[in-house]
Amino acid sequence: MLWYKAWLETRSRFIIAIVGCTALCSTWIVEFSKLIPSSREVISPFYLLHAIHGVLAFVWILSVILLMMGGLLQEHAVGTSSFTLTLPVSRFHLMSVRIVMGLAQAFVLTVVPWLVMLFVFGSASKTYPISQICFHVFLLWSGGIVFVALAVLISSIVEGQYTAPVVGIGISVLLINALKAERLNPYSPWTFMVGSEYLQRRTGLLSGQFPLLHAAAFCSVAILLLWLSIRVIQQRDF
Amino acid sequence: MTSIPVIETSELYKSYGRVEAVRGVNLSIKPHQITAFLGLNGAGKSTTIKLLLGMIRPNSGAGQVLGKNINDAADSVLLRRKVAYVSENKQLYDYMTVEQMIGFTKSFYPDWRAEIERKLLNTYELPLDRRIKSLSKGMRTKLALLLAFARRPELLILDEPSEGLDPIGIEQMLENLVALCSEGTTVFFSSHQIPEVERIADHVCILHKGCLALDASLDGMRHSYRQIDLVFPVLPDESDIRMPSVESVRTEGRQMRVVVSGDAELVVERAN
Repeated sequence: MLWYKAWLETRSRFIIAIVGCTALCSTWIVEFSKLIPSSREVISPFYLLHAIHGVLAFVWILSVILLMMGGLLQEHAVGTSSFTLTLPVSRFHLMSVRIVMGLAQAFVLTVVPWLVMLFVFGSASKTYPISQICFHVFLLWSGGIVFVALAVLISSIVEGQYTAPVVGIGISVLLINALKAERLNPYSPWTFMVGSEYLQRRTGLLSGQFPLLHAAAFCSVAILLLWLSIRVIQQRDF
Repeated sequence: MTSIPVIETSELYKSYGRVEAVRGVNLSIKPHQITAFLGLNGAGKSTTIKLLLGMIRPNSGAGQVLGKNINDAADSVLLRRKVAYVSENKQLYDYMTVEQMIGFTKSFYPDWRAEIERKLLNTYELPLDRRIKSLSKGMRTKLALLLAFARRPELLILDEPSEGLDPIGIEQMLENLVALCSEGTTVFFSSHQIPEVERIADHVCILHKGCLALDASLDGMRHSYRQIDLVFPVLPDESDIRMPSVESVRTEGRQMRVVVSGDAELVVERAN
């Protein structure tokens, strides 16, 4: 039933996020498709899809930060933690359910907008390789879990329904900008999510093998942040 | 009937920075009794309860509830299977309906008593399909009590349970507490309502500035202490009334309220 609670807690935010991301990406495809024939330069329609992926990545980060707000500290702010903490479950269990639910929602938030984009793109008699969608989804999710984990950590440290998301968004924007420098760019989860380094400008397609090692490094950072969040909550007085 | 204490603490101490909330509390609560936990606001009652439930950790000292160590996270989970708690604020999940809240809580307790749930739903007239955020404070309190009573606890801890209840609701709650105690549940509740305490408590613990000031049975207290209200045409000096058996004196206008631990007649004679 903790899953049920986690779902009820986040479902409104999740539905708004998924509808928002999907609507935004679809609208951009339709609008871009109108521009292509009138463009002086030859722009690959695949390139446009990749550009929309960049927009999706930014909206996705904002969405997961808002989605991952909540948890025991926020419950403490509204007064429900004294009920939750007297249930016969450990704090580790409470946190784990919340994290797994968040990761699953973040994954759906990655896949569904891409599937809808594929459908909208296909309805204009254009086809886009499934392998390219998999590549984009892989990059977005495996780089994005750093932001998911960061949001969980912030929600475990910063109390307040509004303060925590503001701090979360602020730190994420700072992180994106701080790692923009060429020297630091390989460490940027944002750059990895957008995937421009794998893009062939001529075809507008991503090329090369899936960067598994790079993704594993970001996963490790995310696991470390999540572990830290759990420890913070386990040690905290409510 | 076992006489092993249900709650036992030894020199329990908790501070928040420089504020000492609980200062070396030694509690020993017997089973199958109703114990009232009294004290002024800020005396440390809620902090002590949170320490017992593992929500906060003591700076020093130790405690056991139902034989489980309150400092041990694994023990604390086992302990919470047998303890029901109603917090002071009675906040529940706003995004759930009454039915969802009951279903959610029920899923954690295999011993859930459906007949108590039905009875209290009926008595308290709780609307199953209403969201908790739209319930009044009294209704929320009733729902919190239902969730605690129906889980068949060995120990029931209540923090200001009557707050927000109307007189009929208070009456129903007191009846339920007595009924639960008669079935073997130990009740430990904090309150500011002395009439409630006098009606149902077997034992009283008083906390003052984080220290346990009194730990006695209610019968013993009734036997040992008397409160006398004296009215004078001209108020005498407090020292005229003071004698070894006088525990406290409070004056208001021409009235003097005296708490006596010994022979009250002697105080009345002196006042005359």
